[in-house]
Amino acid sequence: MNPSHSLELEGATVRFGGVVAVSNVSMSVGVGEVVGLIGPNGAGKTTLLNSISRLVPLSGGTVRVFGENITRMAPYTLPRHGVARTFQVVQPFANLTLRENVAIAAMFSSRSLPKREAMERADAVLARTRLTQKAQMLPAEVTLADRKRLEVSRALAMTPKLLLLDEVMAGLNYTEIDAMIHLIRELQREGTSIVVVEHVMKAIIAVCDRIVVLQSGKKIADGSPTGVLSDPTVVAAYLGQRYVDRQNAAAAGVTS
Amino acid sequence: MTHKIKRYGAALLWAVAAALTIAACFWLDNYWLRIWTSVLMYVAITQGLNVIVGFAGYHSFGNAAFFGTGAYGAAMLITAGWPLWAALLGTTAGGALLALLLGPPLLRLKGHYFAIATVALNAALAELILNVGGWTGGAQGISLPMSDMSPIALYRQVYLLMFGGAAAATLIVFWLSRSRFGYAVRASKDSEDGAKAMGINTTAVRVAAWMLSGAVTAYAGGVWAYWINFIEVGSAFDVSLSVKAYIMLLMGGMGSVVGPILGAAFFEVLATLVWSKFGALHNLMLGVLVCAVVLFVPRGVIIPMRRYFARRKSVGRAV
Repeated sequence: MNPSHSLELEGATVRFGGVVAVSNVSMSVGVGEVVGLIGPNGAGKTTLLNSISRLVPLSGGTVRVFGENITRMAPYTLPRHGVARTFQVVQPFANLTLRENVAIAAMFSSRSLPKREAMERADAVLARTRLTQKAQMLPAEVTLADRKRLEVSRALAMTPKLLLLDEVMAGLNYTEIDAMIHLIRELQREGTSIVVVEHVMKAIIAVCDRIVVLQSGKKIADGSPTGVLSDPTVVAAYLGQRYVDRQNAAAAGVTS
Repeated sequence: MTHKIKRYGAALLWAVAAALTIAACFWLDNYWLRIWTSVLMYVAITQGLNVIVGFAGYHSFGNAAFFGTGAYGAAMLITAGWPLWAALLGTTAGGALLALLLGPPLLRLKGHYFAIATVALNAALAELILNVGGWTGGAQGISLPMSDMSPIALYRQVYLLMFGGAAAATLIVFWLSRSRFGYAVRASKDSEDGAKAMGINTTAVRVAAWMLSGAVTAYAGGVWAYWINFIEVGSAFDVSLSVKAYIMLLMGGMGSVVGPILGAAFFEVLATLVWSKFGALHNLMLGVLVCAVVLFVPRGVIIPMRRYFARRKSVGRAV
């Protein structure tokens, strides 16, 4: 137990029948730290995020948030422990306006926030994520980029201490990615601990203090962005062993 | 300011409609009093269904289980000598209790699995009441003690009791459409994982919604038993009651406050007129009508109505 960490995973394992989606992963996130969780498709990143947010039960291991063991807690209790998340496949409340979507997050993440105050908080968050103009629209009436921003807005309305972002930049254009990077940096400055699952490497390098790499459910690297991204194991996981061999051969050719 | 005026205007409109509905029982003849009592009963049942289907997103085809339980509960309590108000209170609480007991296992089921389970629940409860005998009367049903009121006074009393149920059910739906609890129910319907991640206990919310639905439907069943004076399993647990309420909900518009009222009134009055004009062909005529509604206003009459009023408002602004 270490309260200086916002998140600690010890031997986290998730099995779906005979398939081991996450295998014995241990990692930690310091308070105020931004950690990138990367890996090829099917590596188990989202499953790991789902198990941290208790939407998928762990088959083995423990999860601690700010020193508290949450392994057996119900998912709906986590916002009260300061945990908020976004979804890779956006999960808006389709029949409610963007403002109501965000207000719901504010209303239920703390036990007793009255509706009026939740609406006020929603307005403030929507202004921050530049969705004020579309506050009264339904999720189906806005673009994918806006729905991604809605996901982030809902998470922000929960005033999280630990934020889990699952591919919030997928499908965004360069300007939108830059805006999202700017927002994550702001949150980091405010002291929020963040786990970022992302395929957009530009964003990972720009915002992460540390990177954890998963492949086939196993952790294969954990370290600084420059160190991890030049690690041959990580390059092989993303681009294949043949690419690494070719690079090595090319490098040997240059030196000889 | 405009918002406030609009809100007071709507409240005034509802109050006038309620007052007129209450006053109607003093000038309607027996025939129409019976029809409008039936309309009010279906408003209560359809609003109850609206809570679990329109708001919570669980398609219950077996809400007749609550109606039947309510009818039998009230009949047994009245026969045992309970005053009417206490019997209705008890039966309403009984409906909520039944949903509380059965909700946690049944609401784990999704989509048509839940729908089929509710039909099975209705059938199981009907069999239970049929076979227990004794207090439930078994296959012979229960005859309630005759009221010493004059027929017209009794009909008016039943009408007002049904109005109370319909009004309470409508107020519950109105509350759901704008309260914190209502937001929790609607969020759980749209995205279960999303709602959980926002801090909503989706299981508890759904069970609570089904309790409201069950309580309202059981109350309607209780008043119905008092009204018709004799109940038996076939009519109290009639699945067609659930189906009829479902059609009314479809016609009016799910998830709205006014929709179920319009649906119940339209369908019940129309069914009576079709029955009187087409005799044996009335079911065919009703079938054609239902097809037309599903084809032309699949989300209920409330949607085109809303569009019409929105258009009128924007034209008014332009002028």
